[in-house]
Amino acid sequence: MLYTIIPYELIFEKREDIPTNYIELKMGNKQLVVEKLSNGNYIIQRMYSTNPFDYLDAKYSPGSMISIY
Amino acid sequence: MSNFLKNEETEQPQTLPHVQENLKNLGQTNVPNFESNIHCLTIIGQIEGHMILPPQNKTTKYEHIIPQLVAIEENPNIKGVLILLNTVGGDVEAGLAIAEMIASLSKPTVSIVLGGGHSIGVPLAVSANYSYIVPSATMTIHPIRMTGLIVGVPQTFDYFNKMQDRIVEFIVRNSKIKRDTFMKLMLKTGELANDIGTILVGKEAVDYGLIDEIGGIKEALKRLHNMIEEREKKKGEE
Repeated sequence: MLYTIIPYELIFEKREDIPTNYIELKMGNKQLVVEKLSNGNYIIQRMYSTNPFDYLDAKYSPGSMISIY
Repeated sequence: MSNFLKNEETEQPQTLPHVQENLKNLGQTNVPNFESNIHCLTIIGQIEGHMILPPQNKTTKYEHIIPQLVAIEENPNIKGVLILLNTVGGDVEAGLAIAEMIASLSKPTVSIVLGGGHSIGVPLAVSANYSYIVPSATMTIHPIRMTGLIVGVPQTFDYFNKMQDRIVEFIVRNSKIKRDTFMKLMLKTGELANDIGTILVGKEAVDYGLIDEIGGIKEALKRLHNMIEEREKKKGEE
């Protein structure tokens, strides 16, 4: 059951314009949302951590490239 | 937002380089070698619980937050938690679960409502030991809406009432607002465009006793540091 100010129609609406190929993963204590690029690298879309200093790490800021292997 | 900026002198639109280009040009930044003893919990968008929401929703996932709170409680290097809220509400059970977890942490907690702390964001805001709201933030208090397959029987009404009661009980237990006042705000007419309820802007939330004080990051961190100091003192005396 949802308790929110956003109408249900907007929450559950089918949208074609939103990319769905993002991958969620965890690196150390950071939660990352990444997008796979055609060259096999991954580009960071979002990073989440409770440690505020993780946000100063340029390696994990949105837009930076990482390789996962 | 548009990708073009007007050059101030020539008035010609300029293309902004991509973020990654920018980062490459700026080179590596050094991460300061300094451990923070305060961790922050950012709760944004929809609170996602039992159901995965479609990708157009920005969500805070309950299965991420709960273990993080456990880790924060267990890690001796973390002395306090700052909760940053900008949420439109979400799953009742997930919201209440996170709120109860925050309320039962032994470490000092301070919350700030930024932008909005609506619906299930209200119990999350009051769950901290001390709560702040920035002057421009709003909190919407309204009844739970019925959707989906609903059987038109008195029991349905009772069920919704019970769900609502759990939320109201938590808010009353964790803030200075009186139950009667809260119910009045929740059932007020003429305030929201096509719904009943109330929008509280900044100071109003403080006046009703829902939030402790008006303030931003500076006030919140100062309060948190003081609370940590006090706790350490108490520990030292024991």
